[in-house]
Amino acid sequence: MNWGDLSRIAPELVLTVAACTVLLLDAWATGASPESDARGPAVWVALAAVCGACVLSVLPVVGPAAAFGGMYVRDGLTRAVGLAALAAAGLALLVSPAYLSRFRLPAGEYYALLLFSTTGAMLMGASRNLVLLFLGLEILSVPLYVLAALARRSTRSQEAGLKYLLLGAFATAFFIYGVALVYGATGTVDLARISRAGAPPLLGIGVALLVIGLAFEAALVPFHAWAPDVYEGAPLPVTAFMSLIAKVGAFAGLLRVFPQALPDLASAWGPMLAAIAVATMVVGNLAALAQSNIKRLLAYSGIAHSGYMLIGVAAGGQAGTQAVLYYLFVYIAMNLGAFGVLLLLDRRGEEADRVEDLAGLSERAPWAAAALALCMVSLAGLPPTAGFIGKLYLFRAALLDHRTALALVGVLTSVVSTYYYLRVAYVAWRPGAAEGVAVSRTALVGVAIAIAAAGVLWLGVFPATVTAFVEQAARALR
Amino acid sequence: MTPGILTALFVVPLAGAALVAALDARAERTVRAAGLVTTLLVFALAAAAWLRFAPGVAGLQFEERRMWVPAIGIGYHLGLDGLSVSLVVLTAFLFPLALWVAADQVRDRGKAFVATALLLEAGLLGTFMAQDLVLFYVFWEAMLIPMYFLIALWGGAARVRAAIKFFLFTMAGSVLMLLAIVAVYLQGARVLGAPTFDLPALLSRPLGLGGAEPVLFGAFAVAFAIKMPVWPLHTWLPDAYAEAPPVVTVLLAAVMAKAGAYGLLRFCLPLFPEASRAFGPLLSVLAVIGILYGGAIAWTQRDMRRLLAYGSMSHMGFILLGIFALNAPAVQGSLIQMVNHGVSTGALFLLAGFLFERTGRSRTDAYGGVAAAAPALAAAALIIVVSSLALPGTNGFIGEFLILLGTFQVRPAAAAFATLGVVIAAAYLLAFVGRVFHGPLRDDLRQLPDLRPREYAALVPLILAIFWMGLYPQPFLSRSEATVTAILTRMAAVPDSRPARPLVHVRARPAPAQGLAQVPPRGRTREGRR
Repeated sequence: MNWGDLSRIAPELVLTVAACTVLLLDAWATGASPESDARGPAVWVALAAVCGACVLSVLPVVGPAAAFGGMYVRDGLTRAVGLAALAAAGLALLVSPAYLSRFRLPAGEYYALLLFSTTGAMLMGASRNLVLLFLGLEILSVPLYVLAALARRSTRSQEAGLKYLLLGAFATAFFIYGVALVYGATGTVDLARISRAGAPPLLGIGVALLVIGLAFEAALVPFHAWAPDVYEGAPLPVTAFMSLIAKVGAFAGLLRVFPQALPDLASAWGPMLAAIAVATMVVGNLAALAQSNIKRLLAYSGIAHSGYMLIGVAAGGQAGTQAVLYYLFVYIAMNLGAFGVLLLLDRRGEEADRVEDLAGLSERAPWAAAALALCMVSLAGLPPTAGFIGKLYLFRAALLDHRTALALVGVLTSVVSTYYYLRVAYVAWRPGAAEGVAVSRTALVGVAIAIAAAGVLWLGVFPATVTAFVEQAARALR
Repeated sequence: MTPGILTALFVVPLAGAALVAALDARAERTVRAAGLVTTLLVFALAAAAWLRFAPGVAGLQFEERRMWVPAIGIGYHLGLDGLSVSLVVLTAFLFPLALWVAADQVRDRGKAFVATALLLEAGLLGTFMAQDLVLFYVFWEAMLIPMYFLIALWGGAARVRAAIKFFLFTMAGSVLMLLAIVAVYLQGARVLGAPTFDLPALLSRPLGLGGAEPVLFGAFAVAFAIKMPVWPLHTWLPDAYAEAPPVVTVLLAAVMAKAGAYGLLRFCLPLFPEASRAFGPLLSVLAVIGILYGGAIAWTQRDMRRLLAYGSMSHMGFILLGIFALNAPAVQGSLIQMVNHGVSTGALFLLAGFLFERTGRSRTDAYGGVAAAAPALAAAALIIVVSSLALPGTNGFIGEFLILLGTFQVRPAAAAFATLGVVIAAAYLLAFVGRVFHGPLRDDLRQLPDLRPREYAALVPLILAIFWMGLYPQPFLSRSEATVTAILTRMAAVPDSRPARPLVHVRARPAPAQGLAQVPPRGRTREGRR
């Protein structure tokens, strides 16, 4: 290890140092009430770290891209995934303080865990080695287990944390076993060298086990069962953050393993991933139809969107990679916008998490209702929003790879999805107020919603800058 | 050339919507006025474009072209030609009237209503102007969203169901079209060597779609057929038309339905000439079924707006029939009939809205003798019904006449059955007039007020348009002629096409129809005005 290596991982380092600082600040600030805690310096330290890491991520690298003996690589994909993870973290930080003080959650731990988890996702995007990928996966998911259970007095939250931990540990075990099998088959864990070993049968089994670990994190069918329960039980800002960061990490891993490391075996893993994508899109969208709890609805919607993004991975190549990266940004903006609006609602000290609780929002907070409608339209994949351009890229990748059936399932399930997304938007704009639901006005949440809504529109109407960026990132793949 | 006029056409309503959204909701008058001024400004722009449009030029005019997403060849390409110029004016003409009337009829949350309606206008105008497949799709879908909210939030008792049914039907059709667009684009990239969604560029060479052509044609045609709607894809129509607020029904029937027919002409015929010919008989049969079925069902309806909805569908059948007759008179007739139908059906639904607003009754048998209480209303109704019946001297005549004339040349049987549709239309429309306006005046309708000044102001422009287009349709026909001839010539040139033959050569061939000599080479349409 030398200074060159350390300078490569500067963004991750900044986040880690900030996370430790936040923890220490929390420890020193004894006697402060949880309310003042949440509004204390911790959130600003965390935000500053995220901004700093953003700047460091986009700075050009001098010298070789690889570091730590080739385990870590700072290329276009790293940069794109890193920015996505940082965007998710930054927006999640903005929506959190008000909620934390309202529900008296420990703010210091919350911010520190959030930053650690972000670091994990970024590492997954930067790994050219299965061991680092595994480490990234663990750094991503362990803080999420804790975050899900952060509301100590809520049994729902405890249940969510435990469920997530048990199933997550199970899935990670598959992943590490997969790493072992891949090593056994090829004699290496270096992603750049795996494909040179040809295609021994053991490699296939190993790779399939890797998929289980990553598919769990991305909530792909049939490894999705945890998502609705955990989304519902976890505190709302945690759900918002988790829904974004887990996907960023998981899809970074899938991109690193499949289109990048194993392009020659695409005829083997392509159909497998395509089948998972079809199942995920169908199950996610159909199950979402029946939900009356908006957190569960967004959980199934998140599952469905994992399915859409997997289209890009299954299609592979530059077009597929580019589509997935673009969709990650789109997904972050539109999903966080939706969660941000939910965070404005409050039902007498509880979360207002039924779809019906949104009723009459347009009369009390018309701009929030407009932002919610915009995000729902985007989640449904309708123009002129980001969701449409994202899906256009995904379907283009699928058709380029002659996967017509995949694209067909994708568009048809999109039609199904409009039914439940538009219902949410309709309820928010319908006259008549929901009983006992107050709409709070919190400046930081408002800023986050505004950024997310602007992102949804910007990525939908002027996508060229970001598409150029992700295209560059995908080109690094060959 | 007026650079930027087309961009202004859809940006002005968007800006108007933003302005309205920023206004105070309590300042109802200001909101209404802002909406009205915006739509009038749009109409002024559209009228200016229509007047400055050079008849006799087949290519695009007022073109604006920029790259939008260069990486995959999506362009921002707007243009008007003979297919779209009159439809743009029709759209811009009807919106101020609708908002003007809505001030009386939509009292609840006026601000949101005006803003949503302006978004709808932007989407519709964009649909008629876009010359890039993705840009077209963006506008095409984007107009669905405001329409969904207009029905779901301001409609009648069963509005939510009607709105989602409308949305799912149209969306299901359009997503298949999206895939077809991408497929055409990928094939275009192979043939042209560069990826592009630009329609004129894709038409510059035969795409050689081969066996995929019928499938792709089907995907496009189904999307457009649902919107028109064509039998048997019409089942969303009665619910949506009857549940939408009356002024929104005006827009649905008068403008949005035209987007479907327009799409067939703009995309299906030029992109898939062989499939268009092959499916022509089938679509003509569907058109005739639609004409007769719609008319027959309309005859049996007792609900005023359902009656008009099925009647509207029956009339749209004529337009479909004309398009797939694939000869100049019929297609020309379809184009002018689109404008006619927009004016007449728009006016009919407007009248139905006036009646509904006065009494809250939608069944025709709940009325009777209205002419005695409201003579001006009855007179206006008679004029509009007569125009809808295609009586010579009114606008409906020239369109249906041309359609039947053109269709008779290629499909006499279809034309004969369609003529039967004209008779059925007379039956249900005159029965409608008879039940509502004539007979003994019902006691509970004695106090029925006659047309108010505001309603006069909405109906007079429509009635003037009916007579203007009936007596002097030439400006409309001359604007569409060159483009229609060019499209048909291009189609006729397809079967003996050798690969990669540029369209310029078509010009040198003997002219099968009048007006061909005015077809400029596709690549030089910018300078096409002379």
